[in-house]
Amino acid sequence: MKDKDIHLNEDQILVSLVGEEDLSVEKRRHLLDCDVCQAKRMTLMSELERLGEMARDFAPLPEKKVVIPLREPRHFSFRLPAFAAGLALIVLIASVWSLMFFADSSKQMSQMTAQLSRGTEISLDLVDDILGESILPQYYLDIFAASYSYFDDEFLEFLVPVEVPSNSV
Amino acid sequence: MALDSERRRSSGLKKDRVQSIFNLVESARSGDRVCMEKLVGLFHKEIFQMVYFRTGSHMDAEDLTQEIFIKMSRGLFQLKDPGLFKVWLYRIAINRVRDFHRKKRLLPFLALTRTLEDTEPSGGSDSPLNRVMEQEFRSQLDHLIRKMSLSEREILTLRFVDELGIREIAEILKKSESTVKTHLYRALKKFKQAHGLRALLKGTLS
Repeated sequence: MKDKDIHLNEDQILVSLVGEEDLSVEKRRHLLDCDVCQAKRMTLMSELERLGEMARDFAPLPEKKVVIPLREPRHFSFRLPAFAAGLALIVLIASVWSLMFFADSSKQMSQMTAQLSRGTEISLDLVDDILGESILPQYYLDIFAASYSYFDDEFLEFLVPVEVPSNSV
Repeated sequence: MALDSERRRSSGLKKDRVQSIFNLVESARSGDRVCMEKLVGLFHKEIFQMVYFRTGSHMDAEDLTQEIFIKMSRGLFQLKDPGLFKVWLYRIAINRVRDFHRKKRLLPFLALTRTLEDTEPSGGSDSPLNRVMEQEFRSQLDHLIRKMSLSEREILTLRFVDELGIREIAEILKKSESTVKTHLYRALKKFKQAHGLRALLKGTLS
């Protein structure tokens, strides 16, 4: 028995309902010629079509008329002003915020400068107090600041040798 | 031969409809209000029912349909290819329905899963026979789709209730065609096992 003479099985009938092109050429040719296979296919197809018909028949019909609003006027009368209002609001918020921010920051800057200058004044007063308390005249203070700066530990050790205890290693 | 000529005739009608939708979309995009209203009229029932299948509530379906068409009218000017209008509209609808479910946290996706007691009066005739038929249909369908995954349900509904093609479904759901086919194949396999529903459908066919 040739392949083309074999009837389509149940699955192949279903495949032919989904899409005939998915069957092999042989099977398609067979389906075209075979009354038995065509009848099987037609039976299933009619049942499925009837299913759709009955579902549609048992569904109610629409009662309300669809009302399509006029597009242009509503489109522009609502959306454009809404967009403009939104944009204006954003700009307003941004400007208020930036004003507050800059006002705040400049206030903070002036406060910081005042604090710094107050701090500097206090430091200078303290230096003056320290210097004022010194018993040495300005001349010796200058010598002290300049001429003793190069003394290092080695030189001091030379001048005052460190005594090493005798019991140490 | 008869099948072939039927296919050709239906494909010709489809092409005419596609062309007429294309023209309406082009005109509506350039601000023609009459064409916009024609376009809404053309898809109103389809979209309403599509939403109804997924919400199960007449009122919600009315409201959502209104929202979908408002969204359509606003976005139509941005639609690049008028040929894709239907796919684009369905995508809006699907997304809106998903949002609705997300907000309401309604897990049973399709309203078709409900029993008649839960549902509002349908659009069908009020004859007792029809009501019994509707009840039986819903019950059988409920039984079937409980066995399906969300994707299988959605794709089966889009294919056979909303009558969309594989390519259209793939574009609406942003999935590949092969993925759509795989889900549809699995859904059909489950449909084939639903003997009660198939017997009912067969009964109404004869």
